Amino acid sequence: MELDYDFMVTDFPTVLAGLPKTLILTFWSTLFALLIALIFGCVILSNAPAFKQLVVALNTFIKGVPLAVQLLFCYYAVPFVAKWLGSIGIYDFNPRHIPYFPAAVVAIACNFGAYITDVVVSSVKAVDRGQIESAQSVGMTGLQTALHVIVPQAVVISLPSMTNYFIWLLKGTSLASLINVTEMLITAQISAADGYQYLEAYIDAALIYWVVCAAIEFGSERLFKRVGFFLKPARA
Amino acid sequence: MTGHDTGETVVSLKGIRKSFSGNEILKGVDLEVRKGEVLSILGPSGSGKTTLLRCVNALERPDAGIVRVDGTTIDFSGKVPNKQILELRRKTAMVFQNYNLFKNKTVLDNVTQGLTVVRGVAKNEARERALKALSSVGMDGYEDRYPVQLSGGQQQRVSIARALAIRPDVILLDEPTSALDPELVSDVNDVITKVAGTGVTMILVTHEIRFARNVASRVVFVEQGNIIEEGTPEQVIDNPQSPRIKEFLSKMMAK
Repeated sequence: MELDYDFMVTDFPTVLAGLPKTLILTFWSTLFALLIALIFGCVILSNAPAFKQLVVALNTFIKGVPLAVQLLFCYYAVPFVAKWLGSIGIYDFNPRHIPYFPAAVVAIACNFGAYITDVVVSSVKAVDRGQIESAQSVGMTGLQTALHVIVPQAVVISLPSMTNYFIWLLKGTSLASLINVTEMLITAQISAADGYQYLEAYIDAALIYWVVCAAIEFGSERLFKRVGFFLKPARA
Repeated sequence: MTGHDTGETVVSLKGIRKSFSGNEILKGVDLEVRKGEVLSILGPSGSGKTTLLRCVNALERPDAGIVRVDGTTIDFSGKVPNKQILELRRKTAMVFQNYNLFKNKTVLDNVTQGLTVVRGVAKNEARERALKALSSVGMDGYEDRYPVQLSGGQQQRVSIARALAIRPDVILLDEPTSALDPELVSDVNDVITKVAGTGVTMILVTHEIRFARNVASRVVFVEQGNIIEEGTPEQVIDNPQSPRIKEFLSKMMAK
């Protein structure tokens, strides 16, 4: 068997046309994942008794279930939810156009939200205790300390791990192909169906994933060098 | 002796008690500091001297006792509202052993934060006060640097400027030179001596007996959570009454 290089080249633009959908899915999933992580992270850090236990339990549950299962769960739950939203007049439910894209966003965002929660918590905890005491000693309130000292430092500390999860999430969106979301992987699959040239189409997709992820990693490293210089250990 | 003792009490601690996991570190300490005084707290490691200092601005909350700074009085035996703690802290400033400058801020911002964010001082005025304070510790020209770009001695001088700019009722110094390279120690000590000479009230926890001898107007010796001797540097350092202090001093001076 030989690879059909001509097809690989001519099919490339077709697969590439699926990239925007992958990026849009990545964008919304990341946005909501961050939102979930911030809320969960704040609850865990606040040490509010019952809420903290609840969030931690929820967090371990989400992390303990495979993303594919969560996607399938959301896929089959969507018609029910959409119908219910339709019945209370919030959403115009049409059984012929079931909103699978939002279902994918919900599943991916919850899954990665749980992981990123840990990044939020560990980054805040990684801020030097002395920095906080220093803020307290000049008379800052808790909120002022968070705004001027903890958050700016924790954001920078979190950057490398955040980038890792972000890349993982981007690749994870390929699983949304399981539930009829036409992202890049499914676009590649469909384009290959006529001539059964799946291997070629998948190589195209792999190349594109790789280039995008490498670019994100490269950009993140540059950014970290620029904004993270102050984290180096201080001299004696 | 460089203090400017005026007789008016600025800081007063009464019956301060503090335990950490069952160990009583402070056993009902009383202490008064008068305006313009430089009080040095001496004592062996683990005696509770740093804890005592940190009780003054409630970085360590006493289990019991009364802390008064200027007009703010807090009785720690009862429930203490956060607002009072903030009020107490706004009358004090602290210089830490590890400098603890805000890593994410420039030198200038480190000094202005306490003014603009906490005390609502206008940006221009804060800048002016900060530049003046930086100049008084010999750090002019470093405004735009970040702490990571400075030596330990320079960072500690900025941290003293940060304390000065606030114009607190008292500056608390927690072993300000013990994390420094030996050749940088005298720079920082010179700055502290200079500040003491301007009449700023200071409480200084230190291991450097000679420096304490030179800069302090009064010395207290803490051991096992109690003040066991108190007086002028001549009294406590040159002619201590307690054999325990004699032993400690001979060990420290031998170094």
